[in-house]
Amino acid sequence: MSFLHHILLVAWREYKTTAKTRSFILTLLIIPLMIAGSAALSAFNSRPEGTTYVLVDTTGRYGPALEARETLDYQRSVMSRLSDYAGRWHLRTWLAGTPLATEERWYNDADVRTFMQSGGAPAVLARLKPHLPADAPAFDYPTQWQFRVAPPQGVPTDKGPDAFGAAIRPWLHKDMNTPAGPRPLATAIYLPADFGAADPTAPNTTAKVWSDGQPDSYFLGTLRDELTGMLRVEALRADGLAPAQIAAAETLSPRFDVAAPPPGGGRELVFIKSALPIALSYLLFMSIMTSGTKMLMGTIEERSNKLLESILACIDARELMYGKLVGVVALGLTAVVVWAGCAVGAAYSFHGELADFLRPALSSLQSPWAGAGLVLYFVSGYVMIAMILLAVGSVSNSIQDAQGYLQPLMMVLLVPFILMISTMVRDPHSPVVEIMSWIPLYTPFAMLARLGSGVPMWEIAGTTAVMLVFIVLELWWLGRVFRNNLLNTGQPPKLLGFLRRKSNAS
Amino acid sequence: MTVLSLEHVVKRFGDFTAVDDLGFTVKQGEIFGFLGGNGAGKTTSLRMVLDIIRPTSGTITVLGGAPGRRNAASIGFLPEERGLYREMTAIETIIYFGQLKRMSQRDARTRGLNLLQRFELDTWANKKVEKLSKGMAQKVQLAAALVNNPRLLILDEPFSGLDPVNQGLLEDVIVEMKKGGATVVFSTHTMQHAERLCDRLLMLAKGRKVFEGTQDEAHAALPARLTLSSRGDPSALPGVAAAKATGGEDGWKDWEITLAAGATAAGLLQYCTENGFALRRFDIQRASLHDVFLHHVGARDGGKPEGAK
Repeated sequence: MSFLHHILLVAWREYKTTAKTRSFILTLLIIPLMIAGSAALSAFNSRPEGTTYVLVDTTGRYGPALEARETLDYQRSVMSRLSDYAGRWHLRTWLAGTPLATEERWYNDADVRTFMQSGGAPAVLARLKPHLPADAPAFDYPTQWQFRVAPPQGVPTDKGPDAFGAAIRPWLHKDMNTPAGPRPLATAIYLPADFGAADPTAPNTTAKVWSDGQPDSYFLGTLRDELTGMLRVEALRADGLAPAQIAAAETLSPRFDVAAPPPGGGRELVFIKSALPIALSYLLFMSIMTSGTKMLMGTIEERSNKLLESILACIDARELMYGKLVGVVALGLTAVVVWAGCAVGAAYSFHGELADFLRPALSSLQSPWAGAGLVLYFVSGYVMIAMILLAVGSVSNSIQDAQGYLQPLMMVLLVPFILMISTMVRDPHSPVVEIMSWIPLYTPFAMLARLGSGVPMWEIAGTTAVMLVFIVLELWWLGRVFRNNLLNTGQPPKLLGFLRRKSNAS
Repeated sequence: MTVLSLEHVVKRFGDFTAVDDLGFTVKQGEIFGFLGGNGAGKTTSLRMVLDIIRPTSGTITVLGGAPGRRNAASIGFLPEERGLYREMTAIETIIYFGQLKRMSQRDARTRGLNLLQRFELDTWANKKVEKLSKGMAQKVQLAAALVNNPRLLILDEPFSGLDPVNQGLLEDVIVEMKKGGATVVFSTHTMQHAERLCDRLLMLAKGRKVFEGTQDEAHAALPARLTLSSRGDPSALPGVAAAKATGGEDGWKDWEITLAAGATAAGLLQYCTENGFALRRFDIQRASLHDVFLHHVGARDGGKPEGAK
């Protein structure tokens, strides 16, 4: 009973004194603050997306067609997003009879025109509204990338391309008014009177484009395709082709059925399911290093200011050792709980996409076995590395002394960890990760990271058994190191001595 | 009642023998001095009593049982090298050590505050140790050693590093503890403290016991120094082995006398008075503890106690 009492007393002292330090509080806050800071910074820096263009069509033939193309393309993206929105809330059945009811579908121009004629997005949303759950977020319209605006006042449109160009150039990059608010003017296009003339030697047959920087290739590509199509129709008409045949050729377009997993499925699902365990594995590493280093420095302090003799007169070296381990695990768990709490808080604050991301991520940990494994690996990982740090603390007389051990130790821990995480992201079933699962020091990290992608039960049991045996051996080893070295009555253990010699040699 | 006993205790570190066949007993209520030069084995012996380290061989009995942490509730210990958790307050430190010695938090706090008041530190109770002066921190550590009102108080070089005021305070505390029925064992190489405080003492040299006994026994271990002033030569008096003239005036001479084996100063004085041997001064000086220490330890150790001339 007093054994446990002493362990808890030491653990509580370690916990209380470290948790109160500014550096620990700062470490706790730094990750949420960094996330919040980067979010705030991106919100602060973000400008409304999309640009404007000015089109001067002196022929009077192409302008309306180009504008119609822009509208069709935009409405196609609206349809695509509406279909996803209905799918997410399982409401596609309510859109039966429309192209939106089909999950895997590429919408052609005829589909889009029908959609627009039947009232567009507002009409569809009105149909869905009675069936939407109360907590469903409002439909988020896709970004409209291009807005056509009228030429600014004072810019001549009837004095040839050169006069127009000279007058429009100062306006480029300046904000123009659009129905969605101000957007910068990115492109100006001038179609001369003889644009598209069959005679290439005729003057004023070339369209001129002014841009505020690198021209938007997608926009220019669309413009060129559209103008090319129209010129071809005119050429066919000039050759005497029947209007009905020309119309048939114009509407000819391939149909695509695009088969892709639903949002959050397929490769994306594997990634999302692995994301949380990998993040946990990383958090484990971070928090061990944070609180483990604190414990290491605490032990060095006890040694250097000769506190230990007073303590060891009251309690056993093992009680002190276990107490420190319990204290450091509690500190680490505190850090993880705070970080996880911030993450969940952020997830609830941003209801939509983040929640969609977190749901499958959390689902990987829903089974009781996975949950128990998570806790087991987390605590085991903590204890194993904390024990090594404690051993370093018990043989070091100063921080500088400890550095000699820590440098090679960090290499031993960090390099395989980085290798494993980078491999894991590419292929969760890579042999590298599977081999590392069987090396006790890396088992918790590897298994934590693999939990999301499915691990056979025999492998969980096997790696856990090996790891637990290692922990028992490590405890025995640490107990000896601790007792022999705390009062400078023994030599540093051979393994640590070897590490330091390697470090000094390098 | 025996509070502490060691029998044939040996402690070796590799080839080095720190404590060699040590044996002694300490009875309840005694103040027991552990005297020796640097490296004599005092701290190693005390660590073995506290079970911080284990003897290579021999038997140690503390409070009726083997050394171990179950005795912690009855033992107070002040190590030679002092240190405290810098970020804890004075009272937190005392409570922590009280709890490690199985006290309840409330009792440790009450007793700790009383001790801080006794040491005139009550206004500093809630200040962090890092804000305290060295002397204050030493008092806090003493309070942490005393918080459990120990039956056996073990002090390793308790006076080293203390200013004269705190040395006086510590002497008072040791005497108070004895009056309260506690047993005090302290190591020192400062003879004045041992001379003032100890009921019995033990001298160590190179890990071996060279003397154990009371102060009187210690003093008697060396012959007393006898000086006298006389008109005549005392060399021929019975019981005088040798007489050496050291000065004199007005016909009187000062002599330093070495007594023959079995002769006593009292016998010589009686002979002089009965036989009309004129004396102006007859002075018997007991050997000081310092002399005894040098006699026993100096020759073996090559080391000298503090204050050695």
